[in-house]
Amino acid sequence: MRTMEKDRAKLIGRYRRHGLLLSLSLLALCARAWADGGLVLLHQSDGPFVVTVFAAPNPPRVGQVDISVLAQDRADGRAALDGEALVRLHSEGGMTVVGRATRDAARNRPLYSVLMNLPEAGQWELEVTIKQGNQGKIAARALGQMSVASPRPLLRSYWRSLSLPWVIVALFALNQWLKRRAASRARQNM
Amino acid sequence: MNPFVETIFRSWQPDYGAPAVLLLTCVLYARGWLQLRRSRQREFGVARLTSFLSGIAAILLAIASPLDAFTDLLLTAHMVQHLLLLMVAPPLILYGEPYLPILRGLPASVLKQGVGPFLSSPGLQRFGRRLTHPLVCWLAFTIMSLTWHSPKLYELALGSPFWHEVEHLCFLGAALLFWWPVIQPRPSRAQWPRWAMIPYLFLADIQNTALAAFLIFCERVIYPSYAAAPRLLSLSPLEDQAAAGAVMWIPGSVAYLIPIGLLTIQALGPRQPAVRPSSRRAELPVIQPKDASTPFPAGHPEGWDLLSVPIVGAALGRPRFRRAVQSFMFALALIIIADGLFGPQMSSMNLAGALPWTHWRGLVVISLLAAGNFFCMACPFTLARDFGRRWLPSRWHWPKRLRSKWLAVVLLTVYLWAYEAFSLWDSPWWTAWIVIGYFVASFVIDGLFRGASFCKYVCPIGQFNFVQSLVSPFEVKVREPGVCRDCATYDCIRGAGGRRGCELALFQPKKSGNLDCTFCLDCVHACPHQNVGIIGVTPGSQLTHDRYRSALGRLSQRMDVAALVLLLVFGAFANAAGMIGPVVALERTLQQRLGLESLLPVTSALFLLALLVAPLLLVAACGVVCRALCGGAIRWQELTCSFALAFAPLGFGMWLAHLAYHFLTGAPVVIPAAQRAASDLGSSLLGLPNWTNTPTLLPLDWLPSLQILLLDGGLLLTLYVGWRVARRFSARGAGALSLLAPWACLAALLYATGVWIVFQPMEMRGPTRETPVMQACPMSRRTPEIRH
Repeated sequence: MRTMEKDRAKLIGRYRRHGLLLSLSLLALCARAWADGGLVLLHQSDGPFVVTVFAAPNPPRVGQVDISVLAQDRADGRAALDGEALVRLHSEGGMTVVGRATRDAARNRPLYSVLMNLPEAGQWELEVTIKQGNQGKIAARALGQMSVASPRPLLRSYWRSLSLPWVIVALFALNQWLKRRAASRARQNM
Repeated sequence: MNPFVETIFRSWQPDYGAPAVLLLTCVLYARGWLQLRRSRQREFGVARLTSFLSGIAAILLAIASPLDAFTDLLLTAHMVQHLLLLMVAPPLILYGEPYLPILRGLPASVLKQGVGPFLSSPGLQRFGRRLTHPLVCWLAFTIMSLTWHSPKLYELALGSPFWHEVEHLCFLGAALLFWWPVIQPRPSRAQWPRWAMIPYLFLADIQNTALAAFLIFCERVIYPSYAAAPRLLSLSPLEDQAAAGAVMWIPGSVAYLIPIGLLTIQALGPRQPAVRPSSRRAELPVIQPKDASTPFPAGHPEGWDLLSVPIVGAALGRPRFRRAVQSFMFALALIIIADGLFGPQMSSMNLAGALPWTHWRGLVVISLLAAGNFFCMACPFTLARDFGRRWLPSRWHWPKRLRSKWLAVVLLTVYLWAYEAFSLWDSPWWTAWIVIGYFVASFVIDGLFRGASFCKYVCPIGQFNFVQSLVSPFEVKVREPGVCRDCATYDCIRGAGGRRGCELALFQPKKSGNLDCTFCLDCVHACPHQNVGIIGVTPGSQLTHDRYRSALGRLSQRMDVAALVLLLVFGAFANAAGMIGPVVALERTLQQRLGLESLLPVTSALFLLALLVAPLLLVAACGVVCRALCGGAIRWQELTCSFALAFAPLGFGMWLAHLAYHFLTGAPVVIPAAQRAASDLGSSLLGLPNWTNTPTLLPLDWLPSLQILLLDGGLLLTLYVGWRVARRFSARGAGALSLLAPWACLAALLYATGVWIVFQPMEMRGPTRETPVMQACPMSRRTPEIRH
């Protein structure tokens, strides 16, 4: 009876461990999100704010681009935490992409961040509007340009996942070779 | 708290990769530490565990806390981060003596078969000894520290997350090496006398002080990024640089001076035992397998039984549980039929469109990966079978000529073709009729013929589950073979006391693998010795041998089984390819060029080419080459049948990547679909459906990586099984490798096709490809905000 309980406890322990290992492995597979910050695109003063706009990756490429906005009080440099940032991008080809940057979407919480999907390479006009107050009154506006490069080759984006099998195959080959060598040495010693 | 400070404290990084790896390391360490503590309590005290965990926490603090979020804006924050990685985390980790606990924490087979040969390799031992030589360690640390602080490399790291990660890895690796001779964790031995560590640390401190002084007294901003960054605090860029230098100087020096002080006290102390430097024969800090301190456990633990798990095991062990699950599935099937026939004919709005094609398929493959063939266990069609047996004679034997998988191969081909040709997923009405057809077929076939003929020879879903469950981690098998040797009643196959035995004629003592097993657990209930369980097995292990299997014989002689496996492998790729943009565009181009009114002939031709012609040619060619390589000593059929089984994991990987994708992106659509169905019936209990905002279960950006990793797993298991099969035919490594070569090439080709499919934009055929579900889950990233 005691043995059965012991076995059961052992079993539950193993389940937990395997479950934890599996969950952790799955988590480890998750792709990394773009960080806020990166390239400084704009640094302008307008109204009561100094507005700095960042873009990641550096350089911005076709696909997802993280646009982060830092609005600082012109007088004391304190970050504005109660506003809202509207990011508007307009391409040479006449395409417009609009996004609302929020602090909740930012990793670096004093910044307002938004992930935007840019469908084409080239020069884009960037307009950032900072709104403040309950009625969303426009407090500052910053205008600039952003060069968007062609998309990163997929092989470069996913090289870690794609190289995994070949690394493991190489390690397996090395493992087998070492085993065989150890076995032949053992035979020689006998 | 000041809102700004509060904001900073909330800036934790939402990245799971590195923390997950660190957590996994902690789990391994803790597991090994617990085992070692039983026999070596004094050496592995709580202080070791605490120190190791603190070291890991310091790394987490450096890379996942607000510190990391502010490294782009403040050099001081960046320097604190480096200090944690260079001076705090490594000594704490090494004091935890992680080597033995982490090895011990690994599963025994991984340690013995996987890591063991590397650890006992003399070459690697030599390399380790040289790498941990104090001179090498000191140089590595100093060079790494100076190089990465040069403006060019520092800017590179600031501008690219990848290079930033590389920088951190270099720092952590070099620091672990640097602190290695100072801490000298077991089982390594000192290569220099203990007192020599005092000048070792002192010289490192001089280098650190020089670098810090340069930062403090330099009159220009060394790193241009910080000059351009907005100032979050009242510090100017130069003041920030000076503050960073001060952080490097003072706490950095303290980190060196504390061990210098301790070592000096140790060296001057009266009771200090003389520590002799080891000779050239000094042992490496690696495990010697035959040593007394070997971490290899004495034996393998037996496979564990799911039926022994509390609650789950108790539930599975009751025959009524299966009936309850089947009844639930039966009720769902009735709902699908009703909604499919009478609901709106837009698949994403209809339960017959969402439940079978998105949820059921996705959950089937996920459960096959995580556990086993539990969906056959819950099959609602077998309820109809039981009615059929009551009302129809059920006395004939299944025709001898049809006792193989060939009928199933034909039916599966027809099903897969019909799915593509008629976009079955897009037609709730057809879906409902398929479900009805299934009930009728099961009712008639098992009502007329004995045994579970429908499951064994006819059901395409069952065949799919049988083949994919060859890679599952659980199998219904005997717990203790010795018990079966003394058994004379064979209740597991004959049945006893009103309980059925295995209707698929699988005799437990000779059963191997999940092929033909529906997880009905009749054998479990029938066995009077309670000797059958759901036992954990190594996925794919049953594919490597060619022993006689009950009701199946030797799989190397079963061309029909090989054909079934290959059909499902190539079907996985063809089925996934059918939904991507380039294939749909090719079909439309061909349709236009041939002047056809319908897409059906083109779809059918392409699909049959991918499903029948391509596998036939490729596999036949591989078999011929393989036979030639072994000098014609083995029959083509035997080689082909044996190696064909090895492809099951790769096919499963592709099915998983495809169907799990639909499930993860489209699962929430069942909510508005159920709300719509309920409101159609006049019930407002579930609320009104909201079609506009259906979230995904995983961020879309994660999916390609996940899909590739599933394919990676499939490829690796296929190659491994192929290798084991090749070793069956050739004892020589080189011979086995040449036998494997053509099949490995085919596996690589399929893998490359799978990766290509994953990267393509999704485009579905059929009239409703612009439905809400499809808009929510394109293969490429979403662009909802674009306006022309």
